[in-house]
Amino acid sequence: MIDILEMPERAEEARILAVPALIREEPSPSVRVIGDLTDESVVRRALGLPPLDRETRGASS
Amino acid sequence: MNNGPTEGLPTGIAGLETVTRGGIPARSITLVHGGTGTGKTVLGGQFLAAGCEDGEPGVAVVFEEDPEAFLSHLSGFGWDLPGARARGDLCLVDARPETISKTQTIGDYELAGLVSRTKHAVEQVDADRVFLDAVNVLFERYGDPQAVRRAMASLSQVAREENVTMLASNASTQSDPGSLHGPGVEKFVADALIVLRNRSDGENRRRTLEVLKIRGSDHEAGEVPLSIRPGKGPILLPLSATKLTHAGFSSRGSTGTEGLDEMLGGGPFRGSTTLISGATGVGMTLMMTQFAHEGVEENERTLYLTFEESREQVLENAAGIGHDLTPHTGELLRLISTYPESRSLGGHLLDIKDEVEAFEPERLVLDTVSSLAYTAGERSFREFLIGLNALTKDKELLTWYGMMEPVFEPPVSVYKGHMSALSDTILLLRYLETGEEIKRIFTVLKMRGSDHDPSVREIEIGDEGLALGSRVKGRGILQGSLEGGRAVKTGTVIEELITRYPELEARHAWIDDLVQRVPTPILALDDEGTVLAANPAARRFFGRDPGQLVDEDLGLPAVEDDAMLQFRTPEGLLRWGQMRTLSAGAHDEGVHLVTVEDRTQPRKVEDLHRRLAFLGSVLGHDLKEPIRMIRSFIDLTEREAGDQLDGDAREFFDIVKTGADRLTDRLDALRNYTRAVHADTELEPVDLDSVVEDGLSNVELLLQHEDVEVSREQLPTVHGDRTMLSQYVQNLVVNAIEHKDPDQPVHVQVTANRSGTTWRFSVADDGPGIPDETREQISAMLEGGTEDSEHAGLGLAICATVAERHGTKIELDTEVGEGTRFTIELLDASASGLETH
Repeated sequence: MIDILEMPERAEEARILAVPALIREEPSPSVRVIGDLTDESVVRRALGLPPLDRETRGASS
Repeated sequence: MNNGPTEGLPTGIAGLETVTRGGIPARSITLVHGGTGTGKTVLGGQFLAAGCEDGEPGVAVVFEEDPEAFLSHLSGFGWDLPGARARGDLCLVDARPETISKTQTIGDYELAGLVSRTKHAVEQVDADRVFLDAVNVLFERYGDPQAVRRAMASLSQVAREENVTMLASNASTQSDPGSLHGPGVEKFVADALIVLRNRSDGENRRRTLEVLKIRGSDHEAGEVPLSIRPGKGPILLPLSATKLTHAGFSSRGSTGTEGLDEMLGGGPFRGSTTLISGATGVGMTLMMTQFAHEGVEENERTLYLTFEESREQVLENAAGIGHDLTPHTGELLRLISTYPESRSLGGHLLDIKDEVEAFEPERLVLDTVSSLAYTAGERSFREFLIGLNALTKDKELLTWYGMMEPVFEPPVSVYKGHMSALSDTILLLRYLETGEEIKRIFTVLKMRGSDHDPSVREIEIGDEGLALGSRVKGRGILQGSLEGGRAVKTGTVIEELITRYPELEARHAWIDDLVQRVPTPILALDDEGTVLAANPAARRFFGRDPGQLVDEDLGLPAVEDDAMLQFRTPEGLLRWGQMRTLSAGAHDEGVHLVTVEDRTQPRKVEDLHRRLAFLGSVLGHDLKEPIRMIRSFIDLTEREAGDQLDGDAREFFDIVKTGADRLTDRLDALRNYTRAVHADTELEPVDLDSVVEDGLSNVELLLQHEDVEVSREQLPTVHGDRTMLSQYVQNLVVNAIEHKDPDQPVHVQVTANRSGTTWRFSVADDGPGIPDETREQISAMLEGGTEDSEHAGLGLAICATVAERHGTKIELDTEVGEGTRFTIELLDASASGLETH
């Protein structure tokens, strides 16, 4: 997790404009998700990951 | 000059400081809005490059292009941006948004990345300037415009806190970017808004820049021409930077044309512009060549720009009159030949500025500005002239502009782009056709700040060059005829006026346009009512070219307000016009300016109405009698028949009687109506001449096809009704034609003889006369004693009514084989206590 205000050069490298942004680098090709990441099932779907059980849902952002 | 609280930052864009009164707002965002090809990115590039040169590092945030492509695109203007980047004076932020295919948006977001990266870049190079290229991309890419606006607000905060000035370009897809309906832009938190436009204008494109707002500061309103030059970038040409007023002229130069310096009161002033207007071959180029040669002779550096000919041709022209300019070229004379189409007018102006800065001439010749005028729209041309004037005044140049005129059409250029107002001196060269030969003539139309000789001179061209010869006598070079000849081209009212009142022209340059364009005919008349000049609208009334009207005597008793003007067009149409005099001051000079309002049409309609009403009353009168007869004989028959009538016949008689009664009612109604029409038409003074003219014009076709001649002597003004009297004359003429011997011509004579306060008005013909059988009946009818008009016909019945309305009776005087005379007595107009108009 990178705070772009703390490390703008990392944001520069990744060419980030909108936050919050989640980047899946592996497996390639990389996939980006921007917007509110609180709903994990939405995020997982966007990243192409299988859905999790309600019990194991972790904190995010 | 910045008169608001906002501090302006000079951008380094030539002219923008003037337009923004000190530069764009420092520590804020200025939005540059415009369509494709308007120069947004170039403006930003100049902004950054100027900063880098002045030790103000910059950041470019590029939303659309690859940053490397952005740099190479701008390097074409000669800015060393890659160098600045290498030195650490320029930082690029690749702000192209994540490609849509690889990115999913699943909820709310902020563009904090953009803000953070921009701020980071600013800190990296300690930037003073930031250029955000194509912020519209953000609006297009991110669906949440609120997020984009919040980002802009954050950037604005960065500008304040980090002490940087930002310029953001925004591409518009609108045809008029000034309308600002771009995506989200109208709510954009920019502190200043600049709009760029690029429109077609003539054969060129015309780029402009307009400052729409600068928060808390004043700025110049309206579009300012913008020129983008290879190797130099954008340059603005604000008109306000040019001084139209000049401190005044003092020192004079010489023209090199024999006789001309004297006519100009000693020569043209330095810092003044002289317009030479002439058709091809009339000597204009010779005069300019002599002017250039004179400069060289006087040891004055002379810049000669030709858009018409090659350098060689100009030198040959000079050699043709014995002036060898070749040795001076480069030293005292700089001779440049350019195609007018090679660049826009703004480009030409900048080239001329560069040349003037580099060569530092004292004289400038433009051969010719008309060739430049053809390549551009009127507005561009005017801006070009204003810019050029500012330059020549600033540098105190002795400037000559050539203006080529068409040979066979009226000259127009003096008006084009307000040439006249923008020229201090105007020299006219014209052809004059004298019948035997075509002469060349010359005059000084005006000269600001000096007396000049306004005479018309003959141009003499020989081996020694061009000289001004003897005076040409006559009315003048401009508006038409000279003694023994006619100018090939005719001038206009305004040229006439400018000649006489130069100060008028100086104050009101727009008058020429007005006079040329108003739909009202305007004439300049002398005291006798002879036309000196006419505007194009005069054609509508007079049916002739304005030029053909010159010298026309309109036959006016006096040139005064409200006088009625009568004019017969070449087609034979009679027209009435009401004159109104203008410019009271001009009377002293013997020139009257009048407008002519066409009164022909309204009069015609009114006339027609009254004629119809009049015929109605005559018909009503004539028909009533036969109907009364029908009615009374039906009554009589019914009474005679008595009981012999059966039921059916009685019913038929009733139907006839009802019909007759109804017809009588209708005729009474008609007569009442026609009386009402006439009730408000009082008898008034009428000119019998025009009455006869009117009456005859109504039967013009008949007069053309019948063997008839109508003559009349000078007729007086009498107290009467114009409509009725012209009908009277018309009917008697028709009567003479109808009863004439088909194999003999007939001559009708109209006369009026005074008898105390009345006039005996006679219409006499030399036809076969009225035979005894019908004479008695006719004269009885004419005197109103009988209802029987069978032999007289309706025409004469109408005449009798006309006479009755004028309180007179027709005297019939006829002799078989000799002719017929109808006479009525009419009261003289003065006797009725009314004045003539």
